[in-house]
Amino acid sequence: MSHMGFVVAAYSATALIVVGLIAWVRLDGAAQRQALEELGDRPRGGRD
Amino acid sequence: MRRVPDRSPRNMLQFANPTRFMTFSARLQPWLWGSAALVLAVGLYFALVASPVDYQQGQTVRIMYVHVPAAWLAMFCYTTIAISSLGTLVWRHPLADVSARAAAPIGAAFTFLALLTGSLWGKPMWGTWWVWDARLTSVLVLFLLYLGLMALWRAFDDPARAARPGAILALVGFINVPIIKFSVDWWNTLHQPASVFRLDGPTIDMSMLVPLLIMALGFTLLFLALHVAAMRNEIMRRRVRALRVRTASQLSLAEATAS
Repeated sequence: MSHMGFVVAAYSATALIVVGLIAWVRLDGAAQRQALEELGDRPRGGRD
Repeated sequence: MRRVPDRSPRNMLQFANPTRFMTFSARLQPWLWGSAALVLAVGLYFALVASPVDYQQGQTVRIMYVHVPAAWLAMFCYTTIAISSLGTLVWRHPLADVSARAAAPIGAAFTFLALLTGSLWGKPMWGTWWVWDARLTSVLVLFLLYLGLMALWRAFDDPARAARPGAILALVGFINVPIIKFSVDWWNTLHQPASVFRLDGPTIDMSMLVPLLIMALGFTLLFLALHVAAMRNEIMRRRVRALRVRTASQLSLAEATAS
């Protein structure tokens, strides 16, 4: 009994969602930092 | 006379103001991302290479190493939101609402992942993608709760006004977490009963339990890294909003003075 297709699909979905979450926090962070700079505010507490 | 630092809980709470959090989290973040990547790499090696196949399930048992940590995080993340909501309602701490809001999308993603991988595990093992049993249905309710919370927060322009209703909804919804945990004991479900956190000890063989615990630790570190990053973004978003509101009010005041 192998069902490797289901295993591959589960790990691919996990990778996709984890990469999506990381991309979301990175892109959102970059957008907020840019907005702060445009408003003349220095981002506090260092960069990511 | 030597000054003794005040380490009372009240004084320690002052360390958790947004500005100090930004400084502290900037130093913490690389360690969180690094340790999450390291533990997940080791966990994946054990899950995909070193752990044995199950005598009944074959290779399909490997889905457990992503499904179970995702399901644990779905509940852990909601528990984080509930504790943060308590902080909003009782202590009105400024970081508590930021923490709850930052955790919700991450929790929703892990809950969706638990449902999806559960379905991909259920089809070959149970012969069905989905069944309306108590465990699966209560996890689906948890996913809908996450979506409801995010929709409620987005319905308000001012995050400060959204904090209280969001916290109340989050705390009411927390009743679902013990229902999920004990659903397999209280009702007759197709989903198997608990096999790790049991009073009489785990029922999984050590060769599978160790990779599962390593993956669970890796997922938890990943959640902490994502949560801290999302909290930093939320603090910056509120700062952007405050600056825009201040600029707009200064402009309208200047226009009123000129006319």
